[in-house]
Amino acid sequence: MALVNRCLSLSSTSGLPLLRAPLPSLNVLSSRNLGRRPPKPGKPPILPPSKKVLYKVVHPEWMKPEDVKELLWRRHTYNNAVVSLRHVFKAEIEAKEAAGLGIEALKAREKEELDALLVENEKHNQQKAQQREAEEKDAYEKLKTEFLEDIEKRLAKEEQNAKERTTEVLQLIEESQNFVTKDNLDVKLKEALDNPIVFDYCIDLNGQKFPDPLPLKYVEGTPTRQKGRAFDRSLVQPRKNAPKEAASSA
Amino acid sequence: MSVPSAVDKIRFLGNHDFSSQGKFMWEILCQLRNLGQGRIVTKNEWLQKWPTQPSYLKIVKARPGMDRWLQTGVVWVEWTFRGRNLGIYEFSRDLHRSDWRLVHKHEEAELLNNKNAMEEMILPDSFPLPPLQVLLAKKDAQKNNQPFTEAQTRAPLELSIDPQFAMLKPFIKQAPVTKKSHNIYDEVDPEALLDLYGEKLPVKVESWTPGPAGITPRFHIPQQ
Repeated sequence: MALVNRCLSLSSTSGLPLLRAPLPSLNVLSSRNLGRRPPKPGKPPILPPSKKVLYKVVHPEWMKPEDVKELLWRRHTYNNAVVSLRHVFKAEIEAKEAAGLGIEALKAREKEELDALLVENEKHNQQKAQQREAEEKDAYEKLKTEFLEDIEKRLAKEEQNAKERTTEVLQLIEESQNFVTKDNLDVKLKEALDNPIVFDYCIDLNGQKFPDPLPLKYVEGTPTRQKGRAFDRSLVQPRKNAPKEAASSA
Repeated sequence: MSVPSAVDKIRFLGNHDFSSQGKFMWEILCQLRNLGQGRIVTKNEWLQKWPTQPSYLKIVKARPGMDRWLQTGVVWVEWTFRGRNLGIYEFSRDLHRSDWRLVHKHEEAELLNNKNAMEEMILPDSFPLPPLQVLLAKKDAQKNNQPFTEAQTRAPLELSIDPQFAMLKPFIKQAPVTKKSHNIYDEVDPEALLDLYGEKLPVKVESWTPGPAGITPRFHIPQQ
């Protein structure tokens, strides 16, 4: 309904019939207006005429007598000629058919050709199918072996991993004996302070180490009076001796 | 208060036959002894078209369709058309045309003794093929290395006779053409063809269908 109203309002404003299809009743929404082209007037020709029109008498147009006279004899001549031409064409077609150029012969030949091509195609398809089967089989086997190898590798890797992890864990369990916890924190601290480690050392061939700075134990309580100069070399920038030594050596 | 009857439901359609100047066949025959057996009947149309050549029907047997308007029925007649005796014919369709005229017994001799007869209609034997057809035939002959003769530019003429003239078939003859030309209309004598229509030509030429005129019923019209 909305569609019809909108269309009507449009046509009224513009002044031109936008949709030229007849609307006998506005209450009925005709779906024939939804296509852009309006339908032809009257009935479609395939439908039989309604009872009122059935016996309508048609009055033909008046013809001039001279024209009628001419046309009368010309019509006979023309019809004779056309009928004869039809026979001529028919004879031509029959001659062609007899010579094997007709449509039937062509169709038969084409059918033959198609059959032959289909047979060939079938053969080709089967060959390809066999080829494909073999290839697929190979691929399947290859894939299978690949997968199995993959699985083996993974299993081996996992096994290896498991072994390593067990060793690690055992190691850690062993090491955990030496772990610093809240309980033995004081003891460990005292131990560390009593055993200072200095990594900056020289070593000679006999295996004797000469650390610099020398390791000093941490002294608890009030420190004693300084006896000597203790100098930690790691707290200072390193001396630039390398170029001088190179120059001196050169 | 009128009693409704079947007559009220009938409607007559179409134009009435304004060229008819006579009576209905059954109107005549039903008033004659023995339904007009042995009597002679003409059509005014024939008298007007070919006044010199006698055309009449001699009734052999009449069997009326027993309708109340005497419109239908079958008549067997010996038909003499334009001075030529065509033999015994059955007339069952045109009898509702009111163009028939009874020939009185004292006028019969005049008709029967009239010896003027229709001449045979001579039409050509062959016709010139259309120029395009000829050209294509020549090309085809060249292609197949075959000779192309002058005679191949013409083809035999097959006649297309309307059903209304079917009874004149024995009198329509074909003869070889005297003056040949490229135009089919030049080879035919118009007067010979116009003779089919006599002196009173029809008012319009409606159909132009090659081949005999026929009706192709498009819709089923129920018979009531």
